[in-house]
Formats: sequence, C-alpha cells, structure tokens
Amino acid sequence: MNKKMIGLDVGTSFLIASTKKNNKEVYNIQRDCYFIIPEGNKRAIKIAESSGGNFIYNKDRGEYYLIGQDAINFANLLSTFLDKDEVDRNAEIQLKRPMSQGVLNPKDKLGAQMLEILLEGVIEGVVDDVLATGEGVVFFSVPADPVDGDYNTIFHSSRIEQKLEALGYEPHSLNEGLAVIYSEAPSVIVDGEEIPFSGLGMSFGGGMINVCFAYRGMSLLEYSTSRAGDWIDEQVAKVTNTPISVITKYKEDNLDLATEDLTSNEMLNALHIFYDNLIKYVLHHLKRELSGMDERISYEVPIVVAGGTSRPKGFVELFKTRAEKEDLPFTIKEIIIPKEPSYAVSKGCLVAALAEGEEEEEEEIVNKPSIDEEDSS
Amino acid sequence: MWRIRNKTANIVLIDDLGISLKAYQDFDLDLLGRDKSENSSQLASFLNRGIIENIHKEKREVETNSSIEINSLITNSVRDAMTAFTQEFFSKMSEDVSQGIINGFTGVLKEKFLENLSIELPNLNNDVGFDEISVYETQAAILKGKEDLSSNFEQIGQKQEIDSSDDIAEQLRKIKKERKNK
Repeated sequence: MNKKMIGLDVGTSFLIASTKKNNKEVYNIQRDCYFIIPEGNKRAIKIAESSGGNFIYNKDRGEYYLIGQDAINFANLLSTFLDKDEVDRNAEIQLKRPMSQGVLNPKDKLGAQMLEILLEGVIEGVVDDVLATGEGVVFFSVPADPVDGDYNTIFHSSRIEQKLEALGYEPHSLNEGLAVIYSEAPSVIVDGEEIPFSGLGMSFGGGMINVCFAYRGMSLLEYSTSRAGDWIDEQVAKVTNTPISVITKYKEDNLDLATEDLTSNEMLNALHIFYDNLIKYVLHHLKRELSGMDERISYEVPIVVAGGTSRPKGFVELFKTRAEKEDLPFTIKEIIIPKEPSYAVSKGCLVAALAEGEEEEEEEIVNKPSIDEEDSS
Repeated sequence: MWRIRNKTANIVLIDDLGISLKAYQDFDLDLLGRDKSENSSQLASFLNRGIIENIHKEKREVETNSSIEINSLITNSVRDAMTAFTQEFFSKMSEDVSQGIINGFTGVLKEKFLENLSIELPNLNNDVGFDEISVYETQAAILKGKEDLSSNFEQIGQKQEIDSSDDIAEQLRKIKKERKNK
C-alpha cells in the first residue's frame, strides 16, 4: 500500500505540515493562535466575516474564534484603539495561543481542542485526496524537557499522538532538535571517515529552543530552554509599553540585527538587546549540558541553526560571534543555515517519514513471494 | 520495569538498541521491549564491563491478547515518573525510614492525583489503587472537556512548494538499515 508520508512541525507560533509530491516539497503553514469574539458582539462578527476569515464557533460558550493571521490582524486593529494597559487588563481581548512555551497546557481544555482542529486543517491542506484510515504516516515534532522549567512534555506529545490516531494516521514523534539534523544532514569527520547526520541541531522556536547533539542520526543529548522568541516579544513589550502582537509583526517584517543604527528606534534597540541576551543564554546552557564530558570533542562539529526566531537578518553572524567567545568544548566546523529556516523542523520530520516509508517498501519487496514460489503453490 | 544506569561521566551509546544515556542517567529498558533488550549484545557487554549497572529488573510480564488494551504514554510515564521520584527521594534518607512514612507520602501523592481527576470523572471512587489512577488519568484525558466546536473550513494554511532534488531521506534510510543489521 502506498502510504502518504507527512512531516508535522507542531510549534507554539506556527503549525507546518509537509509532504512530497512530484519531486517537490509541499509546505502548508498556519499560525497557531486565535482571537475570541463573543457571540453578542454582532458588529465585530460581521466585520470579521466580511473579511473572509476562518472561524471556529463554540456553541457551549457562545463565542467565535478568528484564527491565524486574521486573529493577529484583528488584535493589532484593536490595539490601535485601546492602550496597552487596557489590553493587558482584559484577557478576553488578547490574542490566545493553544500552546505556551512549546507545549499544550494540560489545564487548558479549550486550547487543546483548538489545536486539534488546527492540526486537522493544516494536514488536510497538504493531502489532496481523502485518506482512509491507515493510509498516512505522520512524523510530528516534540520538544525535549526544558533545563530551565519544571514542566514535562508527556501530556503534549500523547495528546497529539491520540489526535493523529483518531484522524486515521500512524503517528511517530521526533525530537525537534534531531529533526533539524535530519533536515540538513550535516556530517563530521572522525579518523578520516565521514559520519553523516552528526552535529548540533538548534531549533530557535517561538515557545522553546530545542537543541540536539546527534551522531550518525542518533540523539546523544537533547534538551530545550523555555526562553525563546516569545520571551523576546514579552520583554520588548514590557520595556517599550507596546502590545505583543505589534512587536511580533515588527520583528518579522523589519528586524535587522546587523544594523548599527539602534538609536533611532526604541523597539529596534530593545529587540537587539534581548536577542543578544537570548543567544548568550542558549550558549551558556549548551556549555553547561556538555560540561559533564571528561574530554573535549576531538572532531569539528557543524551547527545547524534553524527556526523562525533565527530568521532575522544578522542573527547567524551574532550567533557565531557569541559562540566563538563562549569557549565551547568543541571547535565549530561550520554554521549551516537551511534554505528555509522556518521549515527545517517540518522538513526533518518529512525526511524521517520518507525514510520510514522507503524502508517499509523494501521490506514488502523482500517479503513478497517470488514467481516460482507462487507457481508451485 | 528494567531500570539501568550509566555509571560513567560520559555519554554511553547502545547502538543496537538505538539509545544513548547521558552521564549517570537512568533508563527503563522495558520501554523498548524486554526481548529486544535481552538480545542486545552491546548492552550485555556494557553490563559486564561495569559501564552500565542494573538498578531494578522485574520479572517478565505475561503478554495477553486482551482486546481491551490501554496503551498510553501518560500511564507508563506517570508510573515511571512516580517510581523514579520516590526511589530518588527515599534513597537519600536513612535506612531507618519507616514504612509508615512511605505510605503516608504515597497517600499524599494519591490525593493530589484524585483531586486533578475529579473534574473529569466526578464519580471516581476514592478507594482506587495507584495503578488504577493512571488508567483513569488516561480516560480523563480522553473525556477532557469536549466542547461543542465547529469550523467554517476543512483546510487551512498557506501553501508553498519547493523543488526537492536531495536524497536525504534515502541517506537516512541507509544509516538506519546499517544500524539494524549490526
């Protein structure tokens, strides 16, 4: 049976499903957020409906949820009429996220259900035909447990696994940092031999930064930090007294970390400061996690830097500068930037799914009886 | 459960099981399957050489063909997390710790679990044992607040196509095959 192989990046900021069709990688991207409009607010509903947006309706609570980019646009529109303090005081007029710091919150029942609907919609977007149960395999990304938080990822990964099974897919989880390694296939040279799928994979996401040290496609070390892209937005929002949704949009559209002209713009200045702080924080934890080793790593290590938070211009140069100053227990061979840093996790999951699919096909060919055996029976 | 520990300050890679252990890390081999672990020559070698030690190995469970099989990551990991935590906690106390303190502590844990479950399963009997609690946690997770949601879409998202000429998946498949054949 020809199964559909799907990669799925389940991120705090974006859900990205991917598959391969006719020698092309197809990515379907959906922002992972929603905005609540109470049923009683008929005018707001009319405006939102006429914009052609996607909705979810909650009959129990009498609420409409605008989703994705429409939600952000609506939130930004509101913030032009209201000040930041008013937005902060009223939870019901804030942008909502099903996930926080990289995982589902077990206490947020609605968030979990919202995520499930979004997951279904984003996977449907890459699958043209309606699949029967068992005709699809999904490798989905999961974060490692954080070194700086006291929550674990078990509820999150099992909930997603249950949902994918309910949709009829065969789910497999894949560590996000390892997915980045699979996406770019870096290699190390040990005793003259090239060892593929080896090196450091770093996924700079919105809710978490995931790090994986891999060797020959296997994870030797994996961890995450809960300080990531969202943390930058929150800190900048605090110091500049600007709503977070405005910061997020500015960061994605305008930020250039290589620019030297920081004095002209308070938001730009703040973004620089907190990006620098984040990079130092991640490298500090990397050094700490590797500190248990007795010896320095003898071979040069490539580092794959991926994820939406790594996209701003100048990020990689800043990262390289800080990494060289940190005195890590290895020499950096090269820093690899994926062609599409935001898609690397999804691509890595897709690579894992395709590798699994090809293995299954080979087993089927091996196990198929030969023509002679069929004739004699 | 079959719990092992990496006794060294280095990362240990058990290639034929496909796992790696951080310095001093514990791991439950039953998560991979008892047969697979017992047939691992690398594991046997590490145990012989004292690089890895056995912490606890339960008798092999008899497998059943029950059609009602509760297979939940939450169930196993809750049990594992509880066991690991209590083992670590009590290993640091003196050997004179009485069974009464242990029973009291597990009673507190049980109360906490039941408190969390009572929202989804209000008729839950307070006399349930620890093993049963993890089963009910699974059920509660499934029943959790199915609010009546409906959407005006089947598909969402913005699509982008990228030319793909690399054979990375094939390279990964070869690596995995080499590992399996070892």
